[in-house]
Amino acid sequence: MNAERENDSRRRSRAHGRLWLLAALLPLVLLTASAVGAVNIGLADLWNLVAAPVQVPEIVRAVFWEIRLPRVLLAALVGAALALAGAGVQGLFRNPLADPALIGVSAGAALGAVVCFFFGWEALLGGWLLPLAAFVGGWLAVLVLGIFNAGFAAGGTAKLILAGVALNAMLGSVLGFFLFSASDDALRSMTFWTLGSCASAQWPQVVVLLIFLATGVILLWRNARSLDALQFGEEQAAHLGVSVVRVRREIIVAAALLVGAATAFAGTIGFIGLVAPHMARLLLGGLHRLVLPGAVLLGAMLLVLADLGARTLAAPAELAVGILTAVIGGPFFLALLRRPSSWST
Amino acid sequence: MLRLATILAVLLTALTARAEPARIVTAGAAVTEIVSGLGLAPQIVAVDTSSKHLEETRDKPDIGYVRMLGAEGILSQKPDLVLVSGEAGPPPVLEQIKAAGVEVVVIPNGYSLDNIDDKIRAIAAATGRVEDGEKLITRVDADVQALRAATAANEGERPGVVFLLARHGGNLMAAGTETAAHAMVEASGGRNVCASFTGYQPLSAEIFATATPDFIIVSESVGGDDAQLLARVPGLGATPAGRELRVIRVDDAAFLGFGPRTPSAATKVATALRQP
Repeated sequence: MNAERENDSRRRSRAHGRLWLLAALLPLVLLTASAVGAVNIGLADLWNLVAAPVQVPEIVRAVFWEIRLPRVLLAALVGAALALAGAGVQGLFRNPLADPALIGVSAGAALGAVVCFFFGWEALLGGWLLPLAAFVGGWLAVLVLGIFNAGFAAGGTAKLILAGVALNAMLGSVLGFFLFSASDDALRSMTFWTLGSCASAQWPQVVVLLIFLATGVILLWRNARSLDALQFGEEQAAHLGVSVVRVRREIIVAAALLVGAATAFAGTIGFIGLVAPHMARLLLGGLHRLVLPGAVLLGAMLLVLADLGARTLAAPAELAVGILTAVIGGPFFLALLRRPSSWST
Repeated sequence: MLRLATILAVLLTALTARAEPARIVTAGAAVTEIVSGLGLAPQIVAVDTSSKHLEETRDKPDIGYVRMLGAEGILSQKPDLVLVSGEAGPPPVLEQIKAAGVEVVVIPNGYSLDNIDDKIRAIAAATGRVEDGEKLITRVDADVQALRAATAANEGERPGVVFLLARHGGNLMAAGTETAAHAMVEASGGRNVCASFTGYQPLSAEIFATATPDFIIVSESVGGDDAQLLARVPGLGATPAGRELRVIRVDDAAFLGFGPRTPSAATKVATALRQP
């Protein structure tokens, strides 16, 4: 008994060590991504940008402050938001295949954006109508799901998952209708949007997304222990004093906020929301106080690296980042799966 | 009134004309063709994918698809002027380039032959080549006159035309109204038989139950000979165009681009439409 407890605490401290390692890796990844790009900056200039800006050519300064840095940060925030939402939804549904897309937010956001492209409105409101339409679309989808689920109060998660599947199918066919009727030019814009891109990053978007991420972090963090309890089943969690309906509502709201905002600014980016939480669990174990921050860090790093590829591999042209997330994250994920570690959640 | 406006515009552009840019990035086929037509091809340092068809720009770096540009990639070519067509985007990327201190000029699109002169004028002003611009306009106007002369003979009995566009993946689409193809078919003296719908629509045999084209216009880039083309479209073989194999192949970058090569490409089509 004593030995077991010791073993447990040793495992936990090792997980904490790994989490700190991830936390230390993130600044390194951000720094590397900020130094590398189509416009050559280099480490010396990177230092000078902060220490002695006058010594840096003006164009380099502009590229760094106006384009590259907001883009790297936006990629980090989008990746973090998607991964955090994924961790929350997987914990809620106790299903390793659960994806934030399950609650309809991604398809709703895609529909909002596609409607925008269909009518040629994507440049309205100084380019802000597109993210707004995507965000509203995502929220409407979640609201519809909530209405047909009695405010996410009735029934178990199985019913919710089924409703989500049905909603996704319906949204998919409406989406298909717009894709089918769209002009060739609009269709291309839609296709590229659904492949994701961080190219439109600007400081205001970084700030807005940061606010959404902070809200999502708070909502999920305060439910972390309840999520742990939920892993024993909803009934047991209720016996342990968890208000299952409240937890469910808060997680779904958080996921809708996070995925809605991330998708609004970067288009639909798959894989990260599904895989980053798994990576976190494989590395850190199943406790949500470790999984949630781990997913945030891993999601941020994954998308920053994928976006680095998107903006450099075909330079001066852009690649869609959605093409690269799986290419970069997939092998890493498969390597993790080979480790004989606890696959308890 | 129009002349006065033109004079004013020329004066204004002459006043605002600045030093010739040394490094230009262009996006949009018509924009690139006009820049090249102003004798500025050597100054072009990079173009978008749709501009790679020109001899002069074939080997220049590719900044990607015109609607999916990246700010840093463009800036890495160290341009002092970025000239893009109206559909270029995403809009924040153009803002980013401006924020980096590089001039961005957007040349609006328009499905009208008169629009070509406006484009040339705007580009000539932005590049400080007003005189070359007027020369190019004179040439384009002469081509438009030739087109008008070629289509005048068709008035009264406009032949029915279906315009087929090859979309990604090889699917053929018919051009309805509110498309560049519709505008150009009409400008070439044809009558678009697919005026019952807007945009490009997938072909079905039913379209040809009511729409009977005398001619098929299709891009040069569509593979296969005319018979193979007909075989791909159900119902087309039974129309007059299909029975007589009246297929006109066009260089769609020129025919649909509303650039300096458009009027002469249309004249070729107008001439072909007069063959019985």
